[in-house]
Amino acid sequence: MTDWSQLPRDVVEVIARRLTTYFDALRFRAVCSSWRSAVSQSPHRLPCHFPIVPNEGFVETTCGFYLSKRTIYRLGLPEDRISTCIGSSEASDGWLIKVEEDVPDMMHLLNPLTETQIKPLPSMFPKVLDLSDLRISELGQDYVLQYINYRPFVNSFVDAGSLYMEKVAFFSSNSSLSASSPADDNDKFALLTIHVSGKLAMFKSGDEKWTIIEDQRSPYDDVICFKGKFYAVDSMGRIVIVEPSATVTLIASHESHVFGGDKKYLVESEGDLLLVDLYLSMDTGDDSPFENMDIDDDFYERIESYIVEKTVRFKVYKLYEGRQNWVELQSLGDRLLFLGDNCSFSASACDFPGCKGNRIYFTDAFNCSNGEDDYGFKDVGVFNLDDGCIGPLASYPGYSKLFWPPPSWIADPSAGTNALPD
Amino acid sequence: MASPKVIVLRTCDGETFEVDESVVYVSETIKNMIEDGCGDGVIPLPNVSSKIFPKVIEYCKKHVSDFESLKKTSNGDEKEKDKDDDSSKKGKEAVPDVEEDAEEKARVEELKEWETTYMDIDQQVLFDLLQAANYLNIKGLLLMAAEKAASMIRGKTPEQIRETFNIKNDFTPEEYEEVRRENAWAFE
Repeated sequence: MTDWSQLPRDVVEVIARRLTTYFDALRFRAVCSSWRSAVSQSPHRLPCHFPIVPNEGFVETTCGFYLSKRTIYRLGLPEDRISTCIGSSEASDGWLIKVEEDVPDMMHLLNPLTETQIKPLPSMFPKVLDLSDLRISELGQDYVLQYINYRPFVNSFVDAGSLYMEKVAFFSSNSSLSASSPADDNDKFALLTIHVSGKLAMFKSGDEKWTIIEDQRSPYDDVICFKGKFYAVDSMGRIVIVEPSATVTLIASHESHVFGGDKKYLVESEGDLLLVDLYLSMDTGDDSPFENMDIDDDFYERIESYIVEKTVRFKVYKLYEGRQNWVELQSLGDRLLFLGDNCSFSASACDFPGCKGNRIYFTDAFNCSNGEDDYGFKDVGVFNLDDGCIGPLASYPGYSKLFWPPPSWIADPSAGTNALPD
Repeated sequence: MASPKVIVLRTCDGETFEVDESVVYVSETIKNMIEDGCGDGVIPLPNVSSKIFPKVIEYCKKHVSDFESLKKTSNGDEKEKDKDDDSSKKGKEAVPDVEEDAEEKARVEELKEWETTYMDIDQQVLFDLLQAANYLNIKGLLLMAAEKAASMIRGKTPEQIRETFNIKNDFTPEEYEEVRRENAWAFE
């Protein structure tokens, strides 16, 4: 009878090194005592302090930045448990979440698309969620820089604000190593973000300050780390690669295609780089309110609330490797794109029964809500590439369940069939 | 050309095998033993059974003949050719290059298919193969077998992994508490 727990430590290490995701390595350590001792837990910590000297024109009053990493996961039941959950319609449901590790071992649950933290958590929600019996797949990460102002009477990160709410692309030389080898201080990392001027700004480990990249025709809209390289797109659709030396190489110019939209996003889907172009229109709503309006003191206030920029549609383009232009995609097939405030990621609709593919989920300030009662989900819209229909998430109850509320098996993953008690 | 030397090896259960020297050279362990002068007698392999040894030899044979075929060109002339060396290609004309690329592609495809069939084994054979590849120091085989094991682990819960490999949960209560904490999220 073979006893896998008796495998020589060398061999166990070779196997463990082939596991590249954090959770695969973690689960490997949870199998038995000998496997556990062969694999050290990767510290999984981000550098959290950037001792940045205030850069002229960048930020004058900060004394440092705190980089926080959030990870987006799909949680689900493993296949063998789904088949035993007969009668529970939620057994095959997937739950899409974003988590941030604040102080060690304390997680925040976040709205995957907005910056909202989901709190307070409902009383039914488990204070401690046991992950060992769930299927977990990582869909993406996003990074946010929070500047720290020096205040003599404040010594925590609670008062930190976000750096202009712009997205940060992050690259680490450690990401190419297996998740089971520990990170060390020699790992190099680099950040690319968009400065308030619309130019790109880069910071590499070992730098003393940020580098503002002068190359710019029009303001940049988005940055991404794709296949180990930094890509950036500007509002005209010009896309460049940014090297660690801060040199910029043109990949596709906006002249090869006229982009009519107002905001560009870069997102990865199944190994491809996609550009999504968002179209806004000045909208006054269905009824024109101007005809019978009195010009009184409140007039101009009311005008503001009627005329807003509303997202009306998206176009999606794919960059084919080796070609220098974008090709419009008529359909995403089974794929779903998620375009959030500071993050973008993609997923397969088949992981979320009840959701159809070929949709784009996005944050839409049009439906501005206070965000207090609904964790920011009122700000999410859905665009259907099949027919061009667009609307708030609330109009599509089947689609919102991938976000909230969590499936019933979250409350008690070890049980067979159950629903959250009312 | 002199006829290839044959090496005699004895597995831990007493069986002997006769194998071409070039084939067993794929094993660093055996290669070192031969270079140390043991090649004329019977080489003992105390950590390898007669059950798994033929499977190992199958791998060695496949990977020796690959190297041999690289030494010949499509013209049949004997030429020194290194897999990683592109400079030998630069001196040739365009047409033979295309033929070579197609040949190379076909070879890689065939190797992939062979590997898939070769690794279609149950976890008991896989276990023996990992042990043998490790002891005999055959890097390519060890990596291939480790990848197979990893593919049986990826995406599984700890309980599912234990079931796949018939492993007992042997954590002490203290260790188990640590494991539970590592595998849980505490929410604020």
